[in-house]
Amino acid sequence: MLLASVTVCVVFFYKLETQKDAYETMRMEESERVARIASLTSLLETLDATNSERETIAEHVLTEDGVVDLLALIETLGREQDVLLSTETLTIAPINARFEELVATISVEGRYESVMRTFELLTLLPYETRIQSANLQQTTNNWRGVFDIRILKFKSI
Amino acid sequence: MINLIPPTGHRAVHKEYLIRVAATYGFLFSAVFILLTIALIPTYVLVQAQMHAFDMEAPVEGEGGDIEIVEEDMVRTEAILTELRKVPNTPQMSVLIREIESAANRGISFRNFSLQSDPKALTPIVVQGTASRREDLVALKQAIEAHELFASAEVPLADLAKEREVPFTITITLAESH
Repeated sequence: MLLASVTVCVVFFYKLETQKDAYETMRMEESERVARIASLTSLLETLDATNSERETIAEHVLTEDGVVDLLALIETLGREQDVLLSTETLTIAPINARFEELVATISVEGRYESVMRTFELLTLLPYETRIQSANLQQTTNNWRGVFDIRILKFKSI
Repeated sequence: MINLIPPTGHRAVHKEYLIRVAATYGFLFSAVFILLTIALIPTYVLVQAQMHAFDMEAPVEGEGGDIEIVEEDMVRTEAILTELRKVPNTPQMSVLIREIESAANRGISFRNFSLQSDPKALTPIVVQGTASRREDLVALKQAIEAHELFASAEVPLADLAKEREVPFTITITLAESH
């Protein structure tokens, strides 16, 4: 009986000690997890607060789906300024793993003021646009502008 | 007192005595250990309950997914800003053409504007046209050089040879600060 009671007591004590160790480990993991969640929650709140600003920034970069709309917009600008506008070339120039540039050569023909106004509007496209070269030349009756524009674009997946 | 127990009986009694003492101590120790075991039960129950509570605590929904989304979002925004910062801070080409136009007087008619930019800056602007008089061309050159956007305007000497209806080519360099 003595042996049995000692055995039960020792085994029980050993089991309790083992569980206490496991409990301490779990408690530390839990406190780390709580701290991480608090940090993440704070970060998410900051991101939520700056969501509109980040979206505005992202809107400056053309997406794959936006290319057709952009070309339509450019053509609309030409029509509204009463010029003969055409997209001569359209290519992609890689930048890095995330971005590339849409390189377009656009020719515009019409009255000087209309060509210049179209040129000004091209620089005001709602994307990050860089005019690489511009050439305005007087023709027999009109002016002809040839513009190489580069538009920042998210890389196609 | 006379000990009437024979020596053999005496040994048996002594043996019986020792057994009883040992049994008593055995029972006592057993009781102590049993009490100890019972005393540990509340601690055991408490630890079990705490561990069960940790196990039952539901993890934050989508915790891992949220972190990935946040990281991707931040990396994307940073990449966009990096690209946007690369854009050179130079005046718009259309603005430059307008400024050249405004610097010209009535005697000047333009027939060509040519502008190029490399990734860091604008290269010199080449403007061609015709000046009614030589003085108009000189005035245009001086007006451009006086403009804050431009550093210099180069007119080849040969372009000044004619006095009237002077065809010209001006190469305009932008001011450093732009």
